[in-house]
Amino acid sequence: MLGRSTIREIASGVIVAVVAFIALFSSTSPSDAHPGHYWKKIYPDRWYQQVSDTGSYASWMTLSTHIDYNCGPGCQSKWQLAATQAMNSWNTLPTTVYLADYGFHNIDHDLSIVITATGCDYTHAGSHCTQGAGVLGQAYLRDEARHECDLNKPPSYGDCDTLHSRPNTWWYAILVINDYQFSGKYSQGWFMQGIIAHEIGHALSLDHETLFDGQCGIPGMANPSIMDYECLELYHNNAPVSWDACGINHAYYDPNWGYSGC
Amino acid sequence: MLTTKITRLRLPIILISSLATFAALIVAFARNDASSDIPRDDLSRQTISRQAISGHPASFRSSVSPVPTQVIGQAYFNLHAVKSLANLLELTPDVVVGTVESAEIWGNRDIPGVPRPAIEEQTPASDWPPPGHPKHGRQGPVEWPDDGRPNITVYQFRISEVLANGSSDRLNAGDVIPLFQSGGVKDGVAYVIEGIELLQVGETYVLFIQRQGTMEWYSAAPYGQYRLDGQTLIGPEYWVNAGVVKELAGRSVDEVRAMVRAASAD
Repeated sequence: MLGRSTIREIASGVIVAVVAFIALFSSTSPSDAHPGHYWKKIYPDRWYQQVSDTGSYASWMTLSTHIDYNCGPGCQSKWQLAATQAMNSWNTLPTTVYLADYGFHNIDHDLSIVITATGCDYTHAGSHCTQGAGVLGQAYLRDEARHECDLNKPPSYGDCDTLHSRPNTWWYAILVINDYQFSGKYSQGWFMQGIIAHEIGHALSLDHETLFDGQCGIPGMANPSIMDYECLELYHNNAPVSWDACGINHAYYDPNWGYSGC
Repeated sequence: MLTTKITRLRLPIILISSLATFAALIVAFARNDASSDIPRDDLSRQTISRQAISGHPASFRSSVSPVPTQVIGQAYFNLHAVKSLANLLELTPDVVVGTVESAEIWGNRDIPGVPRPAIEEQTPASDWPPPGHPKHGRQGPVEWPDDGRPNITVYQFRISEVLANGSSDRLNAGDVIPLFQSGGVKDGVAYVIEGIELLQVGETYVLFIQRQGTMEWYSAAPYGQYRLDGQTLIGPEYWVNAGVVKELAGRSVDEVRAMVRAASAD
């Protein structure tokens, strides 16, 4: 049997180890996983507001936004409610981001939501078409020169804006919604809202949560999220939730909020 | 006396128990990460890997190094149509067999059937971005930087057989139709939308296609494009678990012809 003194010594050792472990691993960088939960899936690149040379401009997570209703007669009346509700669903989620709707078109806005009749968009400098059949919406992120950025490469890859002063930095996001694909179940307002909210999530650095694997809502596998296809398709979760806020707070860490939502 | 005792007896015990505990915590922490992060990241990497090989479907089998791939966009797909052949045919009532004869990066040219707005419509006067804003005075070019990545690729597809022609378009064997995809291959790099495999010149496919609104171009559903290996349909890797791909991949053209005709007749 161990004597009391030996037990005390072992206990002392355990305490020392635990303290050392906490000291070593409790400080995490903003984009890293931290103890207690796994990593919300986010892209490596960030908005220009996060880059040091942007000076002291305030409201770093406010994104100027506008919606182009380019899908013909009746387009605005068909889409306005869904689009504004999608924006509001993000704006009312605490500790994330504010999408300021400027109400007029300008290609220099941060975020453009384009509702198209053909899947093609000329209004953001160039011919641009999303693949038609079977694609409801598509998100593109661009750099200062309007080049499309690679969404999945690590920052060191240097794909985005390497020719300019802000490597790995987004200046524009274009969310193309293919109006003519919204028939059948997708013509319901809640679905239209959900898909716009999903595309906005991409523009805020969030990647897809799962790929059709039946994991929506299973603890430890896939928390409910607007970025999970199945959560939207099966459970009609058409607005961002706390796990999405967690992703935003990983990507754009603010000490006032910490990892809120995680 | 006391110092000597600690040094001789207690300190080693404290040290050993500290190290053991620390190691146990590290292992537990790593296992926790392994049980959560790694499968999720692997899933993502598999997806990207599939996209990388999708530039060269044949190389998937011959283990040739994939072309470098850049993911330039993410999409939300029609996941109702992906469930079964019947559902896919509701979305894309035209089904054709044929060969991709050419591929052309479209650049900044006009898109047939889609009117281009005047330049002034693209840049209305406004007070945005305001003075003091990081973008002020640093606005991007109005015109697309045509030195850039292939945002659209247009393929010429020669139809050898029409398996179904449910749309109002009349399609016939021998027709050459324009098909387009987002992205493309330029300078040895494949630019892709995640989930959409790039078509390959010279390859023969069974395609479930649709023409979009006023556009002249057709496009295939991402889960409705099947490369032919001999007479066998090879499904898109990204969609390997999709219902319709499970139905069709691995079958012969003869089998699929019969299935499509039966489903179209329903």
